[in-house]
Formats: sequence, structure tokens, C-alpha cells
Amino acid sequence: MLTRRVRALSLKKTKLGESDLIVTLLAEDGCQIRAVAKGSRKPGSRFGARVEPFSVVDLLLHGGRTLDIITDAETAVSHAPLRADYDRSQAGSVVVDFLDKVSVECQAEDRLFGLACATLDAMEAAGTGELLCLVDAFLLKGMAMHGYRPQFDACVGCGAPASGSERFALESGGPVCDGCDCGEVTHLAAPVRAALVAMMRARMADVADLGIPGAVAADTLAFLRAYVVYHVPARLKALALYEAEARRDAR
Amino acid sequence: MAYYAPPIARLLAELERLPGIGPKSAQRLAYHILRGDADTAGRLADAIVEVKRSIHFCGRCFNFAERELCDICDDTGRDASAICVVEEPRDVVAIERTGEFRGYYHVLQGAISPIDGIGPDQLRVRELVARVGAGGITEVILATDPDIEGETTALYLSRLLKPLGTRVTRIASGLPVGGDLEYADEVTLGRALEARREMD
Ligand SMILES: [Zn+2]
Ligand SMILES: [Zn+2]
Repeated sequence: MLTRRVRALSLKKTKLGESDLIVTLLAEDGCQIRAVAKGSRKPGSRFGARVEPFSVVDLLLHGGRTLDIITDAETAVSHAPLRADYDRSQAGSVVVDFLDKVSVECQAEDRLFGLACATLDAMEAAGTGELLCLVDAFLLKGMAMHGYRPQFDACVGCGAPASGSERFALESGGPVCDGCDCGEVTHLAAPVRAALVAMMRARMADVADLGIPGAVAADTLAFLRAYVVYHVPARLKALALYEAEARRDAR
Repeated sequence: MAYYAPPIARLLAELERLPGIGPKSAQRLAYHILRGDADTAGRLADAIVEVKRSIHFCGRCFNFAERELCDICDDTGRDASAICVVEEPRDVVAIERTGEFRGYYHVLQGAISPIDGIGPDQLRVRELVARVGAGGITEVILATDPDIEGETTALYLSRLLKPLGTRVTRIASGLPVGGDLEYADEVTLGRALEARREMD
């Protein structure tokens, strides 16, 4: 049996049988790991607390018959403040839900791990009002790394300059000029476009300083959700809940 | 491709829907039922039908109840100034076993879990706010599980209930983080209740 060491971000926990958990994690190399933490729902468990979602852990994994078994877990970054605040926890949930759905077992995209850690770090430091922007920026960058980098300058049909267009083609991920027909489109308002361009250029740690107004950030989330839902086949429940709450707050 | 006679296949399919039951366990249970006599199987079937027919949710606290109200809500001798909020009916049993709590309960029927699409609207939160808002409650003890879903739920409820002027407390750590409340032994859970602290 093979034993390996890996650093990973805990995404979610699923109950297994009487007292075990299956922990879904994003490894440093971008692979998704599903591993069993035995007895971790019982008192005195060594791992229960260390593999809570949002935690970055150094794991010792032992190859099991179907799933890996966690034989040791050390906390690298706990991201505890995300679990101690309702708004932060909700924002962080969108991040781990997205990663859970797009990270496929051993289809490596190593930049996703760095992006996720930078996002959760920023969410820890950010004020409550800045969380929405961080969720937006994460989704935008995450989609880009996942192979769906949108562009906002040239018409996806004919290549003509179209940065003034408010029609955005979901399939090709770019604006459409008045003369072209490029499948399903969604509305892209000018302030949202400006916010997206600024977010794409900024590092996660600087996104909160962009000063994007709350209403624009909420519209940006609605746009991004349409884009994500179009390209990611799995249902992102945390994102749906978060957008519904953001819309309620914006009103 | 039919390995089993249709009635057996149907039983296996139903058993496999149960939590913690995989194909192997389902097979074992089905064989056990098949080998046993008809009376034993009949009693099991009757018990399942009977529990679904007679048990519903208490109209006040959403615990399991045989009548309109559960036995605890029906007991007028308890302390009406305190409500203990838990995720599931089995948590009521766990806390009752400690003998440390004499107030009433409120069962949320779950915990906030964005990744599973469960927000406050999917839980019995509105009903809890109405109970506290009706007055006479001086303390709400949040005894949700010590995992991320339970903590998130506690944070949310604290923010919602504090403006109503009641004291909101959280059962103390000492419970294993990431664990299930139902697995905490009576002594640990009793101590956690005793050492509860005010929510920020
Ligand atoms: Zn065009
Ligand atoms: Zn009741």
C-alpha cells in the first residue's frame, strides 16, 4: 500500500456510515482528492477539527481499496475567521463549492489552489462589504483558469471592436456586435464590464481596494452566475443561495 | 441481466436508499429477512408503516410527536424561559439524557449548508423567531453541532435573535470540533451545556 504526503484545501465533508467522514479536498497540484477520515465524528477524534472546510492541511494519505485513508493531518492554515463569521462563511462557501464542482480527480490545474488560498486569505482580511467583490473576482479568475477566460473587447463573431456592446455571448465568452448572431447572450452593463476588466487585472489581495460599489458588485455576480451556470454542468447550490441573498440585500 | 427475482431486487433497491447501507449490507439484510419467518418480516413492515402513520412533527418545536405536541412541549412542569435549539430530533434525546436542561427545545431540522443548497429558509428558523418574539424567553441556547454547518447556523441565529432582547448562548467547546452532537457522551455534553457562553 502506498503512503503519500500532500498539502490540500478542505472543500467539504460528507458523512459516511456511523462515524466516518469522506473529506473532499483540492490538492496543491489542482487534483481533487476524496479521502476517508475514520472515526472523525466521534469524541476524541484526531482529525475531525483539522479537516473542516476552508482549512489548508498537510495530509498523510494511505491508499485504500477505493478511497484514500487519512492517517495524519496537520493544519497549515486554518482560516478559522471564515468559520467564525456568518458573511465570511457564506462567501467562502461559494469558493469551495465552485472548486468542488470544477476540480476533477487528477485533471491538474495547479493555479486553482493558489487562487483559492489567496481568495480565502483576502476574505479573512476583508470587511463585510468587500466580500461580494471577492466572490466576483474569484469566479472570474476561476473560470479563466478552468478554460473559460472571457474577453470584453472584440466581437466574438467578426472580431470588430465591440467594447461598447451590452450583449455578451455565453458560449464564446465575449461581446457581440449589432451585426452578429452568436447564440445565447446575456446582458453586460457598462459598469459591470468595467468591474470585470479591473478584477481580471488585479491580484486577489488588491480586489477589495478597487472600490467597486455594492450594487455593481451584485450585478457583476448575476452576470458571472449566468456565465458559470452556462459552462459548469454541475449545480452550484452555494452560488445560487449567495446570489439570492446578494440580490435581497441590494434591494 | 436480472440476477434477482423482481421482489428481491425491489427490496434491495429500497434498502440501499437507507443511509449507511451499501449494496453489501442491503444484501445481508435482505437475506436475513428472507430466511426469517413471515411473522418477523410482518412485524418489521408493520413497525415501519405504523411509525410513518402515527409520528409527525410537533407543532411547536418540530421534534417528533405522536400527538399535536411532543411529550416535552406537553409537559407544563418545564422551564418556559429557556429554549435549546438543536439540529435534529436525535439531539433532543442526547441533551435529555444529560439531565442538565429543563427548558423546551426547538428542532431546526437541519443546519445551514450552502454547498447543499440549505439556507435559513429551508430550516425552521421563522418559527423559532416567532416563538422568541412572542416573549417570555430569557435565554436561547444554541446547541447545533460543533462543525462548520452548526457554527454557521449558530452565528446566523445569534444575529437574528439578539435584537429581540433575549440572552443567546452557545454550548461550550470541549465537544469535539467536527463531531456529531449525538456522539458526545452524556458527561461531556452535560459539561458543555453547563459551561455555555454568551454569543458575541
Ligand atoms: Zn460582430
Ligand atoms: Zn414539541
